[in-house]
Amino acid sequence: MKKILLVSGCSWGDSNFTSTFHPEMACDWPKWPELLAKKLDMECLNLCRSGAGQEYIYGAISDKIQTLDSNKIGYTIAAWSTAPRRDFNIFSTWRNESKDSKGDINYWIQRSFRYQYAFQTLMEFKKIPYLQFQMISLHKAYLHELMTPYSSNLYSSKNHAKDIDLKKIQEVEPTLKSKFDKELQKILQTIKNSPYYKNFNDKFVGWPTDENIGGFDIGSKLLNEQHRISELDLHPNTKGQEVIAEFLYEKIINS
Amino acid sequence: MKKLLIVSGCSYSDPNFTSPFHPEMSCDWPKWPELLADKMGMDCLNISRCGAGQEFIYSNLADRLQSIDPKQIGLVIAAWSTAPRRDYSVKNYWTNDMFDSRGDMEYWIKRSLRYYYSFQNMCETLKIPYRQFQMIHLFKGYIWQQLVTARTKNMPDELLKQIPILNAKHQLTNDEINWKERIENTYLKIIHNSPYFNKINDNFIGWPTDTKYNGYSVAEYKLNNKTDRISELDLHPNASGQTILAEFLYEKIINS
Repeated sequence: MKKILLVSGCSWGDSNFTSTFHPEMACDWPKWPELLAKKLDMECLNLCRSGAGQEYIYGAISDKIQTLDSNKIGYTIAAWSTAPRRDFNIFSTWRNESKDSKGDINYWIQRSFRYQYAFQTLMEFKKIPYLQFQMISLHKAYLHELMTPYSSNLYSSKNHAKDIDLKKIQEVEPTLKSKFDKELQKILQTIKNSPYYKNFNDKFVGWPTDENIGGFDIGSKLLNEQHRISELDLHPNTKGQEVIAEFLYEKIINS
Repeated sequence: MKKLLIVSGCSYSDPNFTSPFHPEMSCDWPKWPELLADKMGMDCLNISRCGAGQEFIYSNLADRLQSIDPKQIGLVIAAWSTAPRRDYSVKNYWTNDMFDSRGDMEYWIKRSLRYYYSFQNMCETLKIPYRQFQMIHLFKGYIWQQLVTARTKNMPDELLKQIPILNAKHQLTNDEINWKERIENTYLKIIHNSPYFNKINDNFIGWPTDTKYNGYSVAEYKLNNKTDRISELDLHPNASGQTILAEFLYEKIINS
């Protein structure tokens, strides 16, 4: 009997993903959890859900693992989302908001680390093979939104997670780069000063998650324009999903 | 060198507790974490705080355990609070809301149980001695508030003004008693049907936290309402109540 590949994450791994920007588009191409399961010859149990934040990602894995025989799990993967998201559920259905109405970016990042550490601890305790990584940046979308009021004409949607093009922003508002840098430095300090900074093991791919301090998030590292649905919708297309699956497969067989 | 007793909890354990109903009262009697540390020959690191919910309690323990040498830790205790509370921090300062504006009781209970299990896992993995228990009941306060609010005309919005009404004696009608019973059973089923129900180990004193399942919440179980609480208005433990909590926990710890 095949072992289970258990995955939780956000829209980037959601097998039922539909594009908000292109509602007419059939997005039924295979997503990376299914592609990876095939490569690993495992059965895929994909809990990824559009809009999910860290509480959902951790909660769904932790709840599911209590009901499964650990020996039947071949691998578990947590593909973490952006920090500000808030998950909760009503009438047994998970819901989310793209930005928690309480707290600040420092809190949301620290909260993320606690879920990520709890995931590492759970896997170590259960002796289940695992990987975790930041699928989308903890903070880039937040910074983008922070800068948007100054540069709204550069973006067609306030919600899309396009990396900030500093050159374009500077043309419109020269002081923005220093504002952006200041915010980014504060966030990087939060990461580096976290009590968890040195306590993640090498199963956290890309730790400490930002290229300015020697880490990366998967989306920024692996995907370019040809891997994304469109300029408006930056979710991975067929090719993007394959690139992610291939990268993770290499990581797993070489670990 | 003495080992550390690290405690996180809510107002029942807060070393700096002050009574909102008796602002003139000096509440500087020793709290159970300090009393317990003394009995156990340990130094006390008490990070409990008024108003705290499970996220504060878990997060502050987890954060501390990253930087303290496990060999220096004698015991870690999580004294859990009521389920609906929402904790968060702004500019590195923790604050809280009595009721999370998002979700429902089923979610708040399930979220609480995940924290309990995560705390257990963390301590097991780090090989740190630990105990945990429900200090105040997960949901009874919430049910009571719902019930009294429904039967009270012009219930004030401010919680401090609500408390005297909530703590007053109420003669419930049969319908109200039946409603309360039904809601309590509904919430208890959430605990019973949780995937964590059978995964919480004996280090959880009083699991599964309610007498109907042969568990208990420690304050409700041990404190006498007439002698161990500050007043009819303020149900926090007084000096006698704190001593009783410390003695009870000490006996539980040394006999397990």
